[in-house]
Amino acid sequence: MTKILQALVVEDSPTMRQLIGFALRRIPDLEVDEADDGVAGLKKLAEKQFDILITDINMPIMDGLKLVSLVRKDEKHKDIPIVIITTEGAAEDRQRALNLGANAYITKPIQAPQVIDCVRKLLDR
Amino acid sequence: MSERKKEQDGLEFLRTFKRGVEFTEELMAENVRLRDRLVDLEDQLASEGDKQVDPEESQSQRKSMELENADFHRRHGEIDAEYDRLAKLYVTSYQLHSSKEVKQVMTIVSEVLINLVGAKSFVFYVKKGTKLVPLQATGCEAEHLDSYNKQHAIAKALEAGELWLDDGHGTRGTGVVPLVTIPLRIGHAGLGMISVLSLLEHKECVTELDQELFRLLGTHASTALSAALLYAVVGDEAELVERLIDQIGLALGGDGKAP
Repeated sequence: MTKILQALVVEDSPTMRQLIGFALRRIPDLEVDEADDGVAGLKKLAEKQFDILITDINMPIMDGLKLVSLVRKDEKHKDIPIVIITTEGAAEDRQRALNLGANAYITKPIQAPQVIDCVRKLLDR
Repeated sequence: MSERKKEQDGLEFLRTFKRGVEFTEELMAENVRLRDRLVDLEDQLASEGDKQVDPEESQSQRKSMELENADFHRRHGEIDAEYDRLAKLYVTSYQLHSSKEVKQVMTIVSEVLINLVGAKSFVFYVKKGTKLVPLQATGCEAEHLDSYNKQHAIAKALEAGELWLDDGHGTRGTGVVPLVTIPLRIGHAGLGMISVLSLLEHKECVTELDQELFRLLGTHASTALSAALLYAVVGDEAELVERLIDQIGLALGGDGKAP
């Protein structure tokens, strides 16, 4: 029996959260949870085990770089695959996120097939 | 734009959406069929691996499988693209109409332009007399369009309530002159315009899906803004609901009073 995996989408834009959620729900046996900023994301991560984290970089209260850095220090989620959402022009931010431990990035404007392929590869689905 | 045309546009949108859903369902069913066929062919190939097979026949079978594979990938790509298109149109419409504040509607429009279209610089204008006054600029400095020359193609498109595309919309835009203009109208009254000046560096040009999103923004953003304004004017949610019920009753031929 295939295990149901859990994805957490941390993104302050409700439009993006909904769009990424639609894309991810096309992946079989993957459930999707959401948070609207880094602090809310950390709270969700403390409450349950997730198998993949997708996060924006530019968010209020706590940005994605800080979130990635804290997740990598968390014993429960230190090895979780992390995907960051970025604009192509933000090469510095992107490199910083990868240096902090993010595994992959998706550039805006986002395309559902790109999101699905990226997450599938990281989850080996 | 006449009421009849608006109604026709609305029905056309629903028909397109319904056709899109039906098309996606057909393609997904075919997707499953092709996947099953691929698995059958791979199993067949594996089970025949040890047998002595005529090389020509083997090559012919392999070629046939490669063609089926290529067709499968092409169809799969079509399904993905169609799904992406429908999802973006749905999410845009949903987010606009679920917003209760004018500021929220404006934020949603900006998010759609940046995150779904890939616009780098754009300006919101509101119409004041014969001028278009910039309200908000993203990624650029905005100037007043003082010369509202009615003979200009943009002005004509604005008056007609139509999208305007620069001849160079196959490029990323200069960031100085409009690449695309999106009219914002409420009924026949011009509210303003969104002018997209350039796209993000890795976005090559305005696509057909982008044009659909622009048209959606043009009609639905205006409606969402007027609904948000109504909400702001009334102020109280319960009073708004009661007034709406009265109006619905009137429209359906009742006495206009809530039960």
